[in-house]
Amino acid sequence: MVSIQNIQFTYPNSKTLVFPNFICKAGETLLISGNSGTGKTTLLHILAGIQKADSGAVVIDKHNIQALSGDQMDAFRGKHIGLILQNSHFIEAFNVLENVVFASWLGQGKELREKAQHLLETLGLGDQLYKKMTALSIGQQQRVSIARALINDPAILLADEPTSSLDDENTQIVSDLLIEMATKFQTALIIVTHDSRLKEKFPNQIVLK
Amino acid sequence: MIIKLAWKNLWLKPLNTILSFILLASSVAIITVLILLQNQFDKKFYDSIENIDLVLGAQGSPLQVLLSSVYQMDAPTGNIDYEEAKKWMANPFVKEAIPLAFGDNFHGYKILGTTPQYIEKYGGTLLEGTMFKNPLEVVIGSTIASNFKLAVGDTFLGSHGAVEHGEVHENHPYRIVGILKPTDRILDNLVVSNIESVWAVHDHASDDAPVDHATEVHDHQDGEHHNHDHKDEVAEVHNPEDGKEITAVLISFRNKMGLITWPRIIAQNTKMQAVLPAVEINRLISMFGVGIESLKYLAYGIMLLSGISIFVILYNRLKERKYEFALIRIHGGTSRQLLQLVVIESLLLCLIGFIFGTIIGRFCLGFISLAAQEEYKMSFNPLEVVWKNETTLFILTLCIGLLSAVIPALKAYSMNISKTLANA
Repeated sequence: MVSIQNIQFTYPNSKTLVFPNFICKAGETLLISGNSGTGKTTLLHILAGIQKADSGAVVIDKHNIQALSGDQMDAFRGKHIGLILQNSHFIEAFNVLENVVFASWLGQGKELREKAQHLLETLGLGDQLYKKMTALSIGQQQRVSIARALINDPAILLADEPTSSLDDENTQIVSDLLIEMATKFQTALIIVTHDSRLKEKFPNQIVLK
Repeated sequence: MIIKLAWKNLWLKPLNTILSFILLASSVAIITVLILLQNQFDKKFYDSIENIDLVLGAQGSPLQVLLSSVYQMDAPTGNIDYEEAKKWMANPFVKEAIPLAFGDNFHGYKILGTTPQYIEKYGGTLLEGTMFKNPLEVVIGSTIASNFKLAVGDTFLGSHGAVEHGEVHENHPYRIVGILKPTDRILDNLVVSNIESVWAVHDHASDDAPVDHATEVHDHQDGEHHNHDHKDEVAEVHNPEDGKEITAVLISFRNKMGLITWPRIIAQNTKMQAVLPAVEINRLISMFGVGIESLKYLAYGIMLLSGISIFVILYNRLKERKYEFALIRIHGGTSRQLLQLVVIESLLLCLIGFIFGTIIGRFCLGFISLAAQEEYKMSFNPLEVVWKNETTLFILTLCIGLLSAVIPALKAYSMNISKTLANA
């Protein structure tokens, strides 16, 4: 479960961003949308512990991550938070399978090779395991991102504009997969996007202003 | 997994990596060759003059006397009168005096006339056969035996002088009576006989008749009257050593006063010169040393260049790898792991450079050794490890790697992932 309370953040020489409180339970989904400059990405970074809010609390699995030190946050993020980015960045030197296994090593200190393989097969990438990341299509790369985000059984799956660079067909596939995985792995799924194509798929939504 | 990533990252841009690798491996190879050469030169040179306090030789370059008589590397400056030398050899100050006479060579390997004490002095022991007793009997070093597949009982002809293709003494074949065990010293490259052999061959240089070892040997040994087929010695009563010459005498003193007084006395009162090996070798090594040190500085310069090259590669790649670093962080990697990654990449490159450098260096020394063996009958062991110096070189190489990685690693360590991801 994830909840945020009274989160505020101020960039230097900018107005203070005030975010609404919300709760997203295990297996539930939440879509956060809003125009540019409303703080969508900032909120996602605060939820991921990449940035610290000026005030308020972000509670993930009963831990207020705002109170964690830098090292504690790195360890917590690896174990409890799965992150999917708009542009699928990967480790170029590793193949598809190694990219997912590496995430398990970073998060848990273990190379979960079989689990990574199983996840990739579930996501329809069973025949792409040993390919270079650059050999995959953008849609396939986004699916590898999902596998990588799920490898450590995170309590929360955060996706930043996961479909904005995809065509309609791939947007459909990726969004369905995200929802399916969140349900299957009982993970709270929070998507930050301005992609209106996703609105009808997510019953719980917050619009930032 | 970090090491695996570091390794794979190195080969993502192979051209950059190979350039740094070549620079580093070259510098390590040069330094390795110099370390081994210097160490083995020192060992060979100082080892060979152990317990030799003074060398008596003909006047001329003292270094040449030393090189020709102790290291068998140069032509002698000339000969000295044996009778006169014997007076000095019998001096009470002298503990041991070993006469040396050169005249011929066998395929470039010197044939040395001396006493069995010479072989003992250099730690030679017989692998098979016996020590030479009679003229034209020889004991050969292990290198010569293996190079020419020679065995006890074989005979061979010597060529006059130090030149391989000199006049061949066809009527005076040498007979091998013993083969020495390998010593890794000059003995391995020598044919050793008694001094009478050298005299016999050269007294008979114009003699057409073949020499019968069995009959000729006896009288030269004991100095008795003899009356066989010597054109210029027929029916002559004389000491066989009269008028004979040798090339040098290796002397060790009982009383070290000789070291101080002999060089001056001998220079003033004889046609000989007294060479102090320690002084000459120190002079020689210091001359070599300048060259070796210069080459070392050149190699350190190349090593520094390779360090700069590694730094440039790591630094330039920081920009293109910022998302990789951000990814590592968002999946639970720590700043320290990023720092480790950059440092390990640099250290891996240096480690491979060092390993290949030491191997290449040893191959080079192997080739140098072959050339030196051919030219100077001196070999070097490429497989020797000079632990102290090579460990220092290893640490120095790793330090280059660490220094090259410091700035890129600190930049990776302190990167702002939020800013990086926001700009993605």
